[in-house]
Amino acid sequence: MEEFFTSNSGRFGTFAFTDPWDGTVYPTCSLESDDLDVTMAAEMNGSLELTIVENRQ
Amino acid sequence: MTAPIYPQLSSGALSQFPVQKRRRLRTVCNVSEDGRHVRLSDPTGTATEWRLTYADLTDVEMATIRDFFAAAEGTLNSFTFLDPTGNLLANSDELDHPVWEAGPLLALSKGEADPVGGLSAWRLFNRSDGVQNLLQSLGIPGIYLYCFSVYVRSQTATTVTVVVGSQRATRAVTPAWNRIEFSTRDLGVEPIAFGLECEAGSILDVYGMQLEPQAWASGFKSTGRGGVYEGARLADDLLKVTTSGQNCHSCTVNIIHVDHL
Repeated sequence: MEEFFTSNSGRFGTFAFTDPWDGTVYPTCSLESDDLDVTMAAEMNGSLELTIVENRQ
Repeated sequence: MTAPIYPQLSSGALSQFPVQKRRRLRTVCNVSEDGRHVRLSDPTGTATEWRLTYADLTDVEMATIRDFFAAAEGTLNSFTFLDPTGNLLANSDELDHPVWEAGPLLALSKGEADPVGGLSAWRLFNRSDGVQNLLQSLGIPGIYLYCFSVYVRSQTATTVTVVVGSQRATRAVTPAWNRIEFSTRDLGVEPIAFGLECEAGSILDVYGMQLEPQAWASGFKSTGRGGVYEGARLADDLLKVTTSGQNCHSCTVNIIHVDHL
């Protein structure tokens, strides 16, 4: 997730996102924030939160 | 002159759990009067922050951190920080990237099946009569404890030599994926090379090269920039230490690294 956040340049880049609730593919989405907070609670046990927004013209 | 580096604990670890890490990027956004947004990424505006929470430190470990804090003079002086949550090697899945130095007679091909169900493994062909290296050099101190790990396999039984600075370990390679882990210290003078030495005539599948500043390997993390942060600083001019018993201390250290122009 960290690598995706960085390679996507935070909220700058766009990507397609598949809604996990209904499988709908939204072709042009962005991250909402330029900040990513990661907490590593233990080995192989990390948590973070991302908000994805759909861009429409 | 070698830059100061953030200290390891006596266990060889740089931190204790939990570790909090914040990555802050910068996107310039121009909002026009009709509501449209024009965005531009600012790659020089990246900041990374760590919050290291320590508990049950011994007197010696506490003194190590306190001495480092004093030497850094709080936020004044910069140092090299090795990300305890990451892989120190850069471009770990791009073995043809310029950060990797491949022997002139070593051929590489990507897209091989990897041990986690993807296609990110690489095949290394050494068709020469001598050993060929695949190495990445890092400007990190040789006195620290490091763990190098890599998944390897080969259709024919062979061996591979893991190179960790001046230390080497030769391991058997089988047709099944096997993770090699090699922990060592006293690696020599920086820059220090890490990677593999392929036997003459060998064909190896390789995946997940990882270097960590600790005694044991954790799960593989694919990288872009790698986990060596030169020019990091302490984020505070205050180090608050709590002593809860004999030889038992706790503290929190905040570190920040900013990419400048």
